[in-house]
Amino acid sequence: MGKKGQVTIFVILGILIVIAGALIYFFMPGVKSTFTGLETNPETYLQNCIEDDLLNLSLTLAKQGGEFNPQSYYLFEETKVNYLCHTSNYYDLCVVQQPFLREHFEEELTSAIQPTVDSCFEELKEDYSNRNYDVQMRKGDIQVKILPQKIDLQINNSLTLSKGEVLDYNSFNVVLNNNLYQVLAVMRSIVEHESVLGQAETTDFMTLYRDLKVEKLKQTEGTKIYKITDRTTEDVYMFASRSQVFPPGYY
Amino acid sequence: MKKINFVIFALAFFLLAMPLTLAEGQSTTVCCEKTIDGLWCQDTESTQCSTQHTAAQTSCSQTSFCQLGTCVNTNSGVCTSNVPRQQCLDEGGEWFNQDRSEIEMCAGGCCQIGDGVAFVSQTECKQLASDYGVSIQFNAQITDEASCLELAEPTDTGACLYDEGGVRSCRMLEKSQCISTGGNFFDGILCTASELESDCSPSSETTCYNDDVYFLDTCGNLANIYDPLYDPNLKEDAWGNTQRDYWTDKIIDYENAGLDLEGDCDYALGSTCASDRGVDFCKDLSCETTIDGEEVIKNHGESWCAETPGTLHHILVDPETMEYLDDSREKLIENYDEYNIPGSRYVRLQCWEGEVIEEPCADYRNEICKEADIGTETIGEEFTVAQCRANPWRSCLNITSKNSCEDQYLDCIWVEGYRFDGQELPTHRREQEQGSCLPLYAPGFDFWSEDLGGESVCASGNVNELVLYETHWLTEEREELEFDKKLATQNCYDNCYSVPGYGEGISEEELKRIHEGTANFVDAQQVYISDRLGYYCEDKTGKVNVLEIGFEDGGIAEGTFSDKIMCADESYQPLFYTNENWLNSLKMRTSLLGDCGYKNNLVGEYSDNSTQIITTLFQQLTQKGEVKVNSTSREIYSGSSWTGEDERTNQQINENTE
Repeated sequence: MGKKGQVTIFVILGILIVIAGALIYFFMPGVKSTFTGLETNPETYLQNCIEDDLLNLSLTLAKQGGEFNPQSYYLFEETKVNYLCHTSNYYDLCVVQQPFLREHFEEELTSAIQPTVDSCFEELKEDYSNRNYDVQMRKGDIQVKILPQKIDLQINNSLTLSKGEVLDYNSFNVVLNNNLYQVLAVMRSIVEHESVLGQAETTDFMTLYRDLKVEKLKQTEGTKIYKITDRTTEDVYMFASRSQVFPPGYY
Repeated sequence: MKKINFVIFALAFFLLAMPLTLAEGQSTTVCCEKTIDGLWCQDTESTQCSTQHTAAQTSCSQTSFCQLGTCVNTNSGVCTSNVPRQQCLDEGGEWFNQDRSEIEMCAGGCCQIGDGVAFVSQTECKQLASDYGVSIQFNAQITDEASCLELAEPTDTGACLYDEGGVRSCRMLEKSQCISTGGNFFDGILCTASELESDCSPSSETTCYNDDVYFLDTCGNLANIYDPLYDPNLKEDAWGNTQRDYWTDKIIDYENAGLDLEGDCDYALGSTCASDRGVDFCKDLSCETTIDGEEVIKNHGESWCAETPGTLHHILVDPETMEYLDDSREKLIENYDEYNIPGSRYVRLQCWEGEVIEEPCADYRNEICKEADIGTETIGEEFTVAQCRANPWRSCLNITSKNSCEDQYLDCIWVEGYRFDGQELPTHRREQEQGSCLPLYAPGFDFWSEDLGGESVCASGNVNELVLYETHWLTEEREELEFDKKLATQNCYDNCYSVPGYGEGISEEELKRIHEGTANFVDAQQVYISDRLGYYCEDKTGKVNVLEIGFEDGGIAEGTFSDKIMCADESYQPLFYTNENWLNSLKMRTSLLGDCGYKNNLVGEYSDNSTQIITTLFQQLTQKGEVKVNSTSREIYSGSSWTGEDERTNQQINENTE
């Protein structure tokens, strides 16, 4: 056989391989799902689906002093920064406005992430249904927990996937590596100083927590904006306090 | 005997205050348990109170519903101070009318969870254990956060050897951890120790740990602090026992080991481990900045005062006594109108881990930035610390003696002349008590506000002066007194320093001697001073005696005084000797009171001229002192200059006396 003939055979073989691959892709679902990259693990799927929103919500909340829609706030650089300690009077120490700060953050995040959780579960259900799974899902409650070095979202939805074998899931966890716990502890401590002493010394906190930059920005009418920046992630946390203010013209 | 009329007096005002309107009406302040925008326990207007909560016609500190105490979340163990009772209950907490330190369950301790630590209450620690599903250790003996955080870094690790099917793996662990995981613990040595025969070897890889650069072995375990001398990539002939020993024994006390290692950063001295493009090194934490136009390096932790416009830069004080150590005080006095101007604000800067952080001091110059050097005496090198110090300017206004006012520890300055109570003291008391004590750092006011604005403070700088003139009733001079400087200054009888141009042509010292009776008058044509005897002597009238003295050509010099005023003595002295001194004193007093009078702000804009004016009102009096004729009030000075309407300004009075 001449060289031309050999080349022809190889070309034909190549075409046949491509056709076979296409036939396999379109007519064998198991292979198709592998080729499209869809996760077979619902936990991983939910983690990927929810974590970005959870992170963005936590950052928004942190920047606004723990409220998504602050009612009592100071407008700082076009951001409504919630008061965690406040007095309307001059000379007086402030009154703490949020006694359980971490718990409040958890509540706010839990409410805010619910639509994302619902949406992700719907997508998950649809995805598995499309792959001919029988999907039984019962909606449960969700709970955000802010823990040292992480934010843990516990989802108590139950999920049963049936296709030949049965896969049961009673709950899910989405975990975000985050320093919010430590920052909230610092914020609580600053608020304590504001309410008891009238102000806090930022250097003390930066000495203890080397990865945090703590700034105290005194505003003209007496409000202080505390701005905490995580040096590692550049995440910014802020809150407002108004304590022991001296009016202009008096001291 | 000549009949003398006391003819006219002039009433002069010196208005210092910025033009403000006083607030009209009053708002009702009540205690709102909760406001409509969600704030708890605020003294505010009644319209701000939430209708769902209580309000009281008193201050919140007097109410029971806004009583502050410690709020405890008994589930999580969180304790918060200064929380109103109802708010605490609404949040599901338990409220205590006690300080947090008095509540046992709020006592903090060190909670160890795995490798991490948290300084929390025991209840909080247990909750964390439950959340993590791990066991915890709570140490109540550790009562401060710093000591607790130190425990996060385990130091008593050693080589933990695992022998699994002939493969010897090794990890650097604490003994308890090692044993609990079935390993063999070797205290004080590294996984790379040759006698262990583990699969871990020295490597050139490094990492940041505890502010220092550490070697990692091939298993990813921490070894000792990095130094190129112990890099396994050294040439083979450079690798000897020293290097082998360095990779065998775990060094704990580097200081006593006497090793000078490149990776041994020192946070206290301004370096720490940092990574840049995969390379770990000791990063310099100092900051580059500009001070007085020069590039300088500030150490980590140093703080200094920013060179903000309108403020005096780098006020140096003793860190303990706050005594001024440089000429800041003198600069503030000599250039009082250049510093602490409206809009100016002091700012503190700090170098922290290579970054300059700004901290503005309180606005309205309620705080002043001052610096101290705490390094030169202790470490032999300058190390500045700056603070925003309170400006207790009001306390100056209450001081009534010069010595007390100029105490080196007070930020006050004594301005001779007027007292705030308006008294004019006998001469023997004047040196110490005839003047005002004013703040060195003029405070700011929100002079644009209707409620406050420092109006009363500025108004305390206003003065009224009654100037008396003595003329003969037959002359027509009295009509010209209002406009003729020479006439006015010569015929002035009392408080003559208020007359524009008074004292020109003669020095203050000479004028003072004339009043004391120790100097002669000279050349009255060239000087603008009173020739009324009563201005120099008590209960006298008429002109000062005039003797003719001849010129060389035998002529007579008109109006030349050559006599001493024999009755003059130092017990009868005016407050000021010249009009210039009077005006300068008033302007200084005004400027130091605060944002008062005619001043420029940060951007060089001056306030309205009407913020600083002198007006006059001439009245003709009878011998009995009754008003006979009133003239129209005229403004003769505004802003920083005499007005053009005053003909006396055309008679050699300086336009700008600043």
